[in-house]
Amino acid sequence: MAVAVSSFAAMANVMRDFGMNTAMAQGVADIAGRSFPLVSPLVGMLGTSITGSTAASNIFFGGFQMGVAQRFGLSGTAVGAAQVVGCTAGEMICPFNALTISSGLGLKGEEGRLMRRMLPSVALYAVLAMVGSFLDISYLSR
Amino acid sequence: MGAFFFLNFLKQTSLMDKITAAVSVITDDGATKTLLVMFSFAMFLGAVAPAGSSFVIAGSMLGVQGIPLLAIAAMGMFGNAPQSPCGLLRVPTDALAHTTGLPKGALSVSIAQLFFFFIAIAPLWTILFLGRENGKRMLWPAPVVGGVYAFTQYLTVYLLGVELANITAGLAAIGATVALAKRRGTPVSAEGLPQGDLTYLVPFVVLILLVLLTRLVSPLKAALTTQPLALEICFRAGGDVVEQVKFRYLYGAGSMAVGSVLISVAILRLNILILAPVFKQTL
Repeated sequence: MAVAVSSFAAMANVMRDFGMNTAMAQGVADIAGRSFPLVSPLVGMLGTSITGSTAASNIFFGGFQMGVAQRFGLSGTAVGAAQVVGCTAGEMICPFNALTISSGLGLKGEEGRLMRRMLPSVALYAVLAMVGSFLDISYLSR
Repeated sequence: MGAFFFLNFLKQTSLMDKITAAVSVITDDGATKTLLVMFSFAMFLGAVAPAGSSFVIAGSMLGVQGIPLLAIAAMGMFGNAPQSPCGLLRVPTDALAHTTGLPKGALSVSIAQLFFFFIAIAPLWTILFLGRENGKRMLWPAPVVGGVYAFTQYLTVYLLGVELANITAGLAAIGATVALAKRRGTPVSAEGLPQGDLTYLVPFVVLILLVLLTRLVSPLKAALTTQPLALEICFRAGGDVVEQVKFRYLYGAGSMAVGSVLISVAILRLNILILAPVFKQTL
C-alpha cells in the first residue's frame, strides 16, 4: 500500500512537472466547457476505479482538477469536493475493493457477480454525484 | 493488514461470537440489524480499516445471522464509498490537500457539505436496494440514523477536523440505532450473551481511546509523528529527487488497530501466545 501510494505521488509530480496536467486540463476544458462541474466527479470516479483508492485518485487527478478549476474561475474546494464524491462512486465498482471484500467474506471468485450487482447503484449514485457537484460548484460555492 | 489483524483477534478470542449475540439481543428486525452492523458500526471502523475491510469485519457478524454473503458484500461495496473521504484517519483528504495546495480545513468542510446528502441517504439505500434478503424490514430508522451520522460528521469536521469524523459520527449512529431499535423493536431473549459480560467491548473502547489520545494529546502526537520508525520512499530522475514520501507507522491507522489488540490482550489477561495464530491468519 505504502509503495503504491508513493508511486502514484511520484507519477502525479512527474505529470505536473512536465505539463501533462495542464495539457489534459486544457483538452477537457475545451471539450466540456461550462459543463465541467458535471464531468468533474466522473474524473474522480475513473481515478478510483483504476487505482483502487480515493487517496491515490486524489493524488493522481487532483492537479488536473485544479488546473481546470483555475481556467474557469471555479472554487477550488468545491471542485475538490466534486473530485472526492466521484472517487466514492468509483469505490463501489473498483476491483481492488471487490477482491478485498470477497476474499474477506469467503467469496473468492465471486468478484464479477459482485461488481455486476453494484452497477445499478453505481450508475444512480454517479448521476446524483454529477447533479450535486454541478449545483455545488455552479451555484452554492460561487 | 491492521484491520484484518483486529478481525482475526476478535474471531480467535471468541469475542466476535459475543458481539454477534449482543447484536441479536438489540433487535429481531433484519433491516435494523443491517443498519446497526453494516452502516453505523462499519462506518465507525472505517477510521482504521481501508478498502472495504471495515465492512468485512462488520459483515462477518451479519453472515452468521443468515443473510447471504453476496448481499453483505454488495452492502460493503456501497457503504465503503461514503465513509472513504474521512477514512483511515483523514488520509484521502490529506492527499488531495497535499496535491492541490488547497487549505485542509476549507477543503474538509466543503467535502462534508457535499457529502451530507449522500451519507444521509446511504443507510436507506443499503437496506432498500442491496440488503433485500434480510428478514423483517423496519425502514424508518434508516434516514434518521443517516441524518445523525451526516450531522455529527459535519460538526466534527467543522470543529475538530476530518481526522476523527468517522469515529464520532459512527458512535453517534450506533447510539441512535440502538436507541431507535429499543424503542420500537420486539424484545429478544439474551440467549448466548452472559449477563453483565461486556468484554467484547474492550478492543473497541481501547481503539477509540488510543485514536483520541494520539490525536488530541499534543505531546503524544508529537512523539509519534516525529518517531524514527518510518518508511521513506524516494523517487529520483536524473539524480534529482522527484518525490519523497514518509510513512509514519506508529501514527498510522493500522498501528492503532494493532496497538488496541495488544492492549486488549493485557486488559483481558489473555495468553500472549493467542496472537501467534492471529498473526499467521493475517499474513
